[in-house]
Amino acid sequence: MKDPTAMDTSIQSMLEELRTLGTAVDEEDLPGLAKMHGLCQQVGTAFDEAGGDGGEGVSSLATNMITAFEGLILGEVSDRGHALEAVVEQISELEKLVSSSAAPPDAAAPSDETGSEEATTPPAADVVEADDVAADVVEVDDADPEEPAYDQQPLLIPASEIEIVQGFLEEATEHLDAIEAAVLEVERAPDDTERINGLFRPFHTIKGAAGFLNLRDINGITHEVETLLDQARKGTRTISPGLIDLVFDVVDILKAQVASLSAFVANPDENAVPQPPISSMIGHLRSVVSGVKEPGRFGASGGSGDQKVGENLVDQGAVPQEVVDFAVDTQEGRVDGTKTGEILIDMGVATPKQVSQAIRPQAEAARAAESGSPQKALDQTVRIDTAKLDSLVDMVGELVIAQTQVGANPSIISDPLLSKDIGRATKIVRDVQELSMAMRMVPIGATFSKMARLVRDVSRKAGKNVQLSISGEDTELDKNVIQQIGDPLVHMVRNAVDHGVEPPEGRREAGKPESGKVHLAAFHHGGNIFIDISDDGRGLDPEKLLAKGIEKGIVQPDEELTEQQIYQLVFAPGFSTAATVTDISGRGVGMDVVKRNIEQLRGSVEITSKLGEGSKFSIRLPLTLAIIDGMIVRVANERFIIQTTGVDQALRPKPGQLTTVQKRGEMLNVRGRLIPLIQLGQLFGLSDRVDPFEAMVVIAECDAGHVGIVVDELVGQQQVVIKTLGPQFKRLRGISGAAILGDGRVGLILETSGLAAAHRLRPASTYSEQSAASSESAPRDANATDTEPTLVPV
Amino acid sequence: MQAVQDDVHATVHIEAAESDEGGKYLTFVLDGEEYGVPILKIREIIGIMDITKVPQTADFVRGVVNLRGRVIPVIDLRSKFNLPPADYDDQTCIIVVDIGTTMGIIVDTVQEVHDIKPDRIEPPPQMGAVVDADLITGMGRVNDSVKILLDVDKVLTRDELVLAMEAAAA
Repeated sequence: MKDPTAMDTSIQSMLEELRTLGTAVDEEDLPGLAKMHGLCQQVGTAFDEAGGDGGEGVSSLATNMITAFEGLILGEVSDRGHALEAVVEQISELEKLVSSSAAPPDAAAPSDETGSEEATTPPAADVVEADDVAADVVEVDDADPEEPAYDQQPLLIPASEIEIVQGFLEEATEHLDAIEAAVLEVERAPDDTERINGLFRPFHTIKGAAGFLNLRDINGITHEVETLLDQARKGTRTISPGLIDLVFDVVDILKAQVASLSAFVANPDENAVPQPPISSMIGHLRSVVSGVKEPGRFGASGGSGDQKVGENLVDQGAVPQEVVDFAVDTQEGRVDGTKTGEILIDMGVATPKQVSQAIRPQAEAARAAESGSPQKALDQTVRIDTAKLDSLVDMVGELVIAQTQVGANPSIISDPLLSKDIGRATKIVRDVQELSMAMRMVPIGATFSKMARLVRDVSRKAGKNVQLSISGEDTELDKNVIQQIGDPLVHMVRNAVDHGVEPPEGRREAGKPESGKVHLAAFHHGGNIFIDISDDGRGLDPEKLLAKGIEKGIVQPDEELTEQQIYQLVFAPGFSTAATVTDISGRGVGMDVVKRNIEQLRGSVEITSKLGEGSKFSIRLPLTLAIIDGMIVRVANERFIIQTTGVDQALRPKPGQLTTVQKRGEMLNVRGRLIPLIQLGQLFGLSDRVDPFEAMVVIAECDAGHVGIVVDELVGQQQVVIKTLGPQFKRLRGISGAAILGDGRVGLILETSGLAAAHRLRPASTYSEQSAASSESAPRDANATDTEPTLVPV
Repeated sequence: MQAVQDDVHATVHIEAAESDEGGKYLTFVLDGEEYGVPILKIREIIGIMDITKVPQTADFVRGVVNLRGRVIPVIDLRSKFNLPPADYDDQTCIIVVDIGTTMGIIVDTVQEVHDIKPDRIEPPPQMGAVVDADLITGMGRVNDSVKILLDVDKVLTRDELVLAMEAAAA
């Protein structure tokens, strides 16, 4: 829709033709140049005849252009390409002058055919300061966007921070994935403040971390979007599709930032990190935040390159950001699929050449994407659903069992050829098993890198100087283990810095270097993975620990504990409270949780310490969560599996070791400790009470210390693949899963803590209906009648 | 192997879906009575095998078995329906059903697959049945015999398999 008061349509059509030619022409195209030369003359003449205001400006510009074209055609200028560019740029200026002089300045017609209200404002209508608008419109060359300015500055990452940045990048990638999911949720339920909060948080986390690491760009952009989301959650802004689009755009830009940082971190050098331009995005966000603009998709959707035409133009300094935004808005209003670039040309703010230059990176990006960019070539990984991996591991486990069964077939012995073939197949199956296990493994390095940051934070806060050293970062662990070991590790590293390492004065007095050391190491040893956290601090004082244990009632005064047992007191719940003993202060804060987490991973922690010289916490973890080393025990006709790592010893009790408590509970005295006995067969209703002197007792750890499990026989040891028993059996106590044993039968895996709980829940006299009647050693007490119905379906 | 089974399964499903209640039923015998289960619920039929007892479970839960690497629970339908127990023999079968989870049900013997038309199915009897009426979808007439058609989902999920220990100890 053109302003009716504007000049003659003939001038418009001439300008349009001129513009079109300007896009197509090159300096060798003499007929084209000649035609443009002619058009300039016509425009000048026609304008003079129409007698619009400011005619002199138009005339003189037209005259200039005519001269320029003459020069080009006659070959009088040396750099013809440049000269052509200059004159083509002038076309838009000419248009601008023509339109502004033909109509009142505030009613100049942008080529906005939608006829929206914005038609009454200049093209750059969306800027904050009106003065700037005018300036921008007239002086297109001087396209420096002065509004909500954000200066992108060169980013330098010191080598010492590379690892921390790497950790940040991994986190950020996860957060960005979370954000994308959260955005969709918010879009589904825009009124749910909780969901907006869920979206707000990861941005906030990224912002905080980026600020800490001086990643100015990421910090800046997340700050803006955070403000925006804050408005939304306070209810001052509604969640519109435009806002959702905008957030997605921010995520894309952040991803680009993260990607370029990742590339740099993978291959660091002295130079500044290449950063994708974001100034315009931040400007855009600021405008939206301040309410000047409606939130909406940022940049043109027409391009397949990462960088939008508009952004390229802004980066080239050709067009101010707000003009691009306007053009994009216009584009969205149109249904004919006009590209942003075309609109910009239509608006006369960018020359076709500039646009074509701006399109080039887009086209290149598209080409790169088609041919497979170099970055993709490096990243030859496939993301696989872990459930699929798990079932692969399961199947391979079965294959191993089946293979073992074939191998155990007696007829093989008489057939050497068969024996040889089976041997080969067995080897292959083992290889496949190893490979399937390896697929779940990831290096622990990333987790360790995060600790570097932590050590820095904590040591600064505590006023200490602590150096973290790391070894074995390539050690691979099961992905699930890595995910779950993070928190306990954070806790233990923090403790090592906070409580293990002395303050500088203390270290000086002790004759140690002021700067303390914390070492993180990961390594394989004997089918397990060890993660050691050692410090050269003050060490643990066994006497004080023991005194405190007695004070807290965790240890009986006359109890004799080994050194290891004393150290293990730090893991006892409630061991450390506000009233701390200085030398061991805080060592117990949340350490019980740490231990529990590690035990959930079927691992254990061992502590070695030397007073005044430091401590070492050694976490032992299984290679994988899918397989355990099991001790197989027999009770009646059933076989059960006890995880070997939890077993202290197996013994046949001697007379005098056994004590009964109130004629109900049996306790075994093992090296000064009284260990409750669990009659497994009785508890599970498989057999009557077994005389412990005739049986084997397996002493195993549980959350409340140790228990002695009375079994008929130790069958052997075997690595087993853990199977879940499924949802129907999740309420079982004392049984954590099942495994297929060597003969193909199912064996249940015992879980000692649950077993101990089940044992406590059922007094000995009521283990089961069958045994209660025949158990002569356990006379019923007064409560027995209440506890009678034990095997009734509920 | 699995894929093939699923294919068969899918085909059966299409056939079975043609009618409302009618369709193919696998029939089996339990203490002299004949029962039917919609065939699309059935994954496979295996002979009786070693069953590992699981403690703290209801009486009708016999335990778990190894179904080619998967550990699945097995229940005894006689026990579930409070029928007198019987020794397992070479006729005893485990029907592996798929009701969201995979479970095995032990029956005396498996008969055959019948195509029972909807008009041959009568509503469940209101009284005098051995089994609760709500576990039965209907009575299917095949020639001159009557099959009790079971709602296998209800049969297997109505009761918890695991006994509550707290209740027992209270």
